Amino acid sequence: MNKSDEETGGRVFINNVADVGVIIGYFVIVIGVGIWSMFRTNRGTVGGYFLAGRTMVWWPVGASLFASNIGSGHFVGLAGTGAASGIAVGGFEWNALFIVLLLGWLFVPVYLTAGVITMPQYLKKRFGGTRISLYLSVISLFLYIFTKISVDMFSGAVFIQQALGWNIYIAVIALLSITALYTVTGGLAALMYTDTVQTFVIIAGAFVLMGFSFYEVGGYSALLQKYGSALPSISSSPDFQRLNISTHCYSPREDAFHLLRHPMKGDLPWPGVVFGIAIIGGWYWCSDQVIVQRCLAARSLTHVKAGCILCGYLKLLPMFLMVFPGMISRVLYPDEVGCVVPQVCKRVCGTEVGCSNIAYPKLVVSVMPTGLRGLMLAVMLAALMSSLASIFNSSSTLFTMDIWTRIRPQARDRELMIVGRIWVLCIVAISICWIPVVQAAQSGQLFDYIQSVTSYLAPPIAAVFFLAIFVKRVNEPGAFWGLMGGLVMGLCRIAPEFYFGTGSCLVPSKCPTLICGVHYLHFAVLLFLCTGILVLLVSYCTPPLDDKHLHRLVFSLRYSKEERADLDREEEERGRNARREAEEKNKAACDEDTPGDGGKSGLARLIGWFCGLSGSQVSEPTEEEVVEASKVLPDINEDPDWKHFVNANALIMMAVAVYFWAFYA
Amino acid sequence: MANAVQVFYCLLLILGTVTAQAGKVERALPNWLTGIIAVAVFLFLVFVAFIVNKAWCKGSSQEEKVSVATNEHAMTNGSNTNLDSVRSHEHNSAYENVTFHKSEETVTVM
Repeated sequence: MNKSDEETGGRVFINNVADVGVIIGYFVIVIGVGIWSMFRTNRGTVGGYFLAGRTMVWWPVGASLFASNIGSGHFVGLAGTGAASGIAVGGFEWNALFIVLLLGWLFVPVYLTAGVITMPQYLKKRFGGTRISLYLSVISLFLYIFTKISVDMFSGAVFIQQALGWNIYIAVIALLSITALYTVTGGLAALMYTDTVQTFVIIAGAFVLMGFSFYEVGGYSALLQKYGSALPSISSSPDFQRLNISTHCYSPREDAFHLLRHPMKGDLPWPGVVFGIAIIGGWYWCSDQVIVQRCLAARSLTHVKAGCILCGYLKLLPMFLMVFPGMISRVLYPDEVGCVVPQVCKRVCGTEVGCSNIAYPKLVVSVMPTGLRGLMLAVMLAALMSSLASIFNSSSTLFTMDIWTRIRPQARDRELMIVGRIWVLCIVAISICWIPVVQAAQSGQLFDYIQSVTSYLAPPIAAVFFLAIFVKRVNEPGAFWGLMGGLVMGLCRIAPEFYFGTGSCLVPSKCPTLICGVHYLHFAVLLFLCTGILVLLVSYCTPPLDDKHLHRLVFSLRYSKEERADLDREEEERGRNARREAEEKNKAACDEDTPGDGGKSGLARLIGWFCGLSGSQVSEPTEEEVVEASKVLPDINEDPDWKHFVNANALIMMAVAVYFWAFYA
Repeated sequence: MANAVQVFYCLLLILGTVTAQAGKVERALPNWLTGIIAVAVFLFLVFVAFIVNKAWCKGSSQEEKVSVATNEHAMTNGSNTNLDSVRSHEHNSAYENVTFHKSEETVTVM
């Protein structure tokens, strides 16, 4: 660390006893909670590892929803975009307040009664066939790797580079190995309990930083006054022939303190902020594995709803904890954060297009006193590790439950557990390889990059889930061709944008206005509507699904008690038969060489114990047992008192949300 | 009263435009007031939705009950008189609560 200190000369890094002590303390607490929860739950079965045995109460659910949502990408991205263009980016967070209620009240009841673990599995039950679920698993994994994981890692690395001065690759690899370790060993229960701790750390640390930064700038009203005049001192290019920097590229926006901006001229136009973000949020919160898996782990529907409300209240905070500090950072360091001349930017942060990404890290290393800087590093690590770990866990759930069981239908619990853990390692490796691309492609504003890629690919998925749950008439061909049509439309937009580049204020992209002129949030709304229409058109032209296949799979039939003829039952039966055969074969093999079993090395057993893989395996259920089990219906009935209590709370939360939206409109 | 409030808002709006003309962009209403108004409107909408929902649900369930009752009546109105159809088998002066039982069952299924 001392060496890097000398190299970069004069910058303050975290290398004193107090800071290091705080970080070590943080790691001890997280690992302690992880180990404690490891002993509490059974990690050897699919339900135990991937769904925490469905025993979670509301506060770990809510905290875990928040922690897996808030990643280091938020600290860097929200603060950076806030510094660059004001509070409108907070709309991304505040829109989620309403979406999270949709999740708890409309979507999760259906997923619970459907009795599924993964989202592709739900679509398989709802529509039958395998192509839709295969497509959904593949595109979800793609989105995890190319947007969530790489962006989170990149922003975590930016922070570590700023605060510690380490090499970006070493930092990322170190972080990933820690995260992978506790994902691989722990399972969902350990994740959710550690997430709760992480949530505390994130909020506490971010509050401290917010306090210090507001103190530094002189209070809220001072921020309102000074933000408008935060201009960099060097704003003219060294050679005027090549580059002429216009004033609007480096002066703060006039509408910086408005959430709702002009529908044509604004950088985040209000129809996009209200409807576009709601659609992307609908995908993220209501149909994505990472979030839904946490809700499915809850003890009952009331706990899910209470968890959603808790998460909603917590989602009010990022505006104050991240966006405003980002803006303060620009006020305090206009030359660095608000730099505009490419050469200057290159010197400050290593990218030519702009340095708004360093807004938050810069604040941390500059205004925080010794000891608290370590706390902030712990906060970043908490955010990074919690969201990465949830993505790792969910992607391994997707991979094992939907892709691996297709390749090897005879795979049994033990094999699935092992495959799931190996997949985590693979995905870590893939995301490391992807870092240089992100580093090259990111245009200074990280948040926009994630959101634009997401808004070209996610709306069709949101549309299909929405229609699948609320419209009984939608059938397999409709959903499939809707998804395909949506994908083609999305790719038509992504391809030129990547070819021409997103451009920056100084060097606008050469992309023709006809293609790239539509704002990406408006494009999301259009894409959603087009996909929806396509789905309905194709569905009405093809024969409908019978009600007997849909009991407890659509919203209107969620309380139905009729027997359901599953559309995927043939495939499931084949899988069960294959597993039973495998078990027979295994047993025969075991009988032959029983004495050899004692020779299993101590190391192998230690690893097995550490990963929660117990030696004995439950035998496969027979056909009668399966039929019996299917008669036990999942229960979504709620105690009426508690039901009214959570409903009232949801109403209060919505009123609070409406107040804040209007306050900053 | 409503008029006075409207006049007040108009004044505030005019104030806003005047200050805007003076060269600086000002809000028509202070932030907190916009917030309060929005919450009031939101709660009002929720209230309306609640009332509509209540009225609609009540209406439909009552309708359902009526139809169940007529069904029951039609069914029992065969050759027997009303009382005979529910007379207990064990005791001549006791009656079984057939109608009530049936109607409840129908309601739960709905």
